[in-house]
Amino acid sequence: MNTDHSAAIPGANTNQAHLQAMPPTLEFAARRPWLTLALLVALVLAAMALLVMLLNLKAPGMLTSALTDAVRQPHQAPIILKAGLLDYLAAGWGFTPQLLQVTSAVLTIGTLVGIFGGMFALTSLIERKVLARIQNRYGPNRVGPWGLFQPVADGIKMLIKEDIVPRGADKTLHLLAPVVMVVPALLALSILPYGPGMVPLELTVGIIFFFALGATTEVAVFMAGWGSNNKYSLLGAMRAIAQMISYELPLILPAIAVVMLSGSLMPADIVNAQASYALGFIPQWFLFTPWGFAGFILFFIAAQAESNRSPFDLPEGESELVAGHLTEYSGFKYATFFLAEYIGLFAISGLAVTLFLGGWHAPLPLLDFIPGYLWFLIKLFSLVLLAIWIRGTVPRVRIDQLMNFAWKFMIPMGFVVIVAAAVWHISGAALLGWLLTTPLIVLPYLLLGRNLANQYAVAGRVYRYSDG
Amino acid sequence: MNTSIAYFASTAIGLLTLLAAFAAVTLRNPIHCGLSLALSFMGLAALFIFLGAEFVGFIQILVYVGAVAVLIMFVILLTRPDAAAAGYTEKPALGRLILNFVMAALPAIIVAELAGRMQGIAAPGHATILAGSMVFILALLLIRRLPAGSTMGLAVALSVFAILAVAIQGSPSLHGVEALAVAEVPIAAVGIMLVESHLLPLLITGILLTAALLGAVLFATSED
Repeated sequence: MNTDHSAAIPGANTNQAHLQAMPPTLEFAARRPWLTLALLVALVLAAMALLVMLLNLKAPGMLTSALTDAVRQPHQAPIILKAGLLDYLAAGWGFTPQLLQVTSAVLTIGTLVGIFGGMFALTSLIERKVLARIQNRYGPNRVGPWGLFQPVADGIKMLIKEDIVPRGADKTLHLLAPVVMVVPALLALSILPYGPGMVPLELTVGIIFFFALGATTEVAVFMAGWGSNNKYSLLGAMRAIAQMISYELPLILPAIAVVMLSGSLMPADIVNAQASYALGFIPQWFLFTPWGFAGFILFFIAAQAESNRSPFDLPEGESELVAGHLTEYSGFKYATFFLAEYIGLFAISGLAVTLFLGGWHAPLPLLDFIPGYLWFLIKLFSLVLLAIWIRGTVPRVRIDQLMNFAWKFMIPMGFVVIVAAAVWHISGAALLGWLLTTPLIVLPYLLLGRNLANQYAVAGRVYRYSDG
Repeated sequence: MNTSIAYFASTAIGLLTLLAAFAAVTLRNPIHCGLSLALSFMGLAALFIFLGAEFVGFIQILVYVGAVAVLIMFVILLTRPDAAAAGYTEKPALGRLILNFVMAALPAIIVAELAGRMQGIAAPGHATILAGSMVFILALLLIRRLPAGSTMGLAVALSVFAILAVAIQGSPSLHGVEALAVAEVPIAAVGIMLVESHLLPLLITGILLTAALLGAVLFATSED
């Protein structure tokens, strides 16, 4: 996916030559990107308006009034639009209550899959662009303006690739693994609170649901690794599972601290516990407490490890394992794994936003005019960008470093965070809390860090002959 | 929820769970057995969630599918179990099979009696145990293989089965799906119960798990 031949063509002349070889529409798009975008947006809006007008014939005015209501109250727009559409279907098309229930579910699921599918396409492009900039290259810039249509080209390439199943493979497991991988990733999106009243699946044990889904991914990785009948796949899968088990605990421990302080396992309640602003402008997110800051960093590092991203991408470390458990996958199955990986990253970033970054709440009271669901997506996308930045900056760790880091640093720090959260709660979450919990976090951090660093202390190299 | 839909769904989930459990003991390939076990754990979790015990259901997935099943598969992978090396004999004689079961069923019946008396309900009837033994015999006849010293293991398995039978006899599930539709228990109540009235069992479980962990470390490090 990451080969980029375009980087070697800096000259403008070759660029022009390339443009002339393109079909006229693409050439137009490449020359005037902003105009193309504006035209596309106008086209989509016109098509939507036409659709609404045509549909409105059944029950005149219902859809348009829902649309105007949604524009007037942007904070509640998704809810108003959905309710309006359901009312319209009940009035105009005579949908029964059971049918409406199913339609409501389909609408919610469709919106989620659409938004996050689009984000997946966008992120796969942005990731390559940002990585290219970090590595002093251009990145994809051939397909469409700024390479914007690269995800489309990638998708078509994946779809028309040959689907190869190794002869010795366990055919059933080989086929089922990508399915088992993508289902929990998509389900995990359902408990995230996107805005006030916008939780697709309101569970009293939402947080546990999320971690339970994360646990089932391990089975899928195992199926992929074993079903491929390839030594690299199996080794990669075993590494992946060992890594996932090790980093599950540091992922859950900071979450426990948050659950302790908000007193609920419901994501919406956790977001509401971070609603107020101190002194009128400092948001009371858990990130801005000593234990929450440490907890967020632990959670974010563990999240990178859980979603097998750099610097923890040993399971698919190309330098040693070809592509780990993905070695024997091609075409659409590979694309499914790829999708599951990114959706998993979005979901876990969304959980981080919910737990530590105040969910849908604006960072400043005066920014409240931007709807909550947009804030949620903005925060989520910032975390994804942070993950891309880390991927471009930090080299891959070794397996013993990975394990030592998890068991000797992350997990003890997780327990420290829980104790600090308890102290913070008892001491009244004010100045006394700051004075008590800050040393409680910093001292163990220094001790554990020093202990771990001493393990890798390298003695000065002695040059036998040149040092004389 | 609509009663007929509820009935259909619970039956389907139950059948899937049973099928997966049966596959877990009959399939030839140990990896497939492990995966079937994971599937049957998922089915159990689905039943829990279906009965309104969401907390227990998701914990079941987290612990059993995410940890226990994966650990079992890891062990299978690392040890590469070999049917011959584990002392399995192909096609045991029917007489030996029956003798095995008689010896194994006796302690199970005693356990069932004791458990029934302790619970203060009528003992589950030895018919249940015998029916369980018949299922075991049937399953083993289907697989046609038996570990060498299997009487002890069978006795333990049947005793566990007997205790489960006693527990099922005392549960309201025998009075139909409607009896199970209890009000949802808040998780806070579960937590308070764990640290107040059930503190001793919790601590004992913790000590047991710590001892198991220490034992594993001891086994792993005693070689050098």
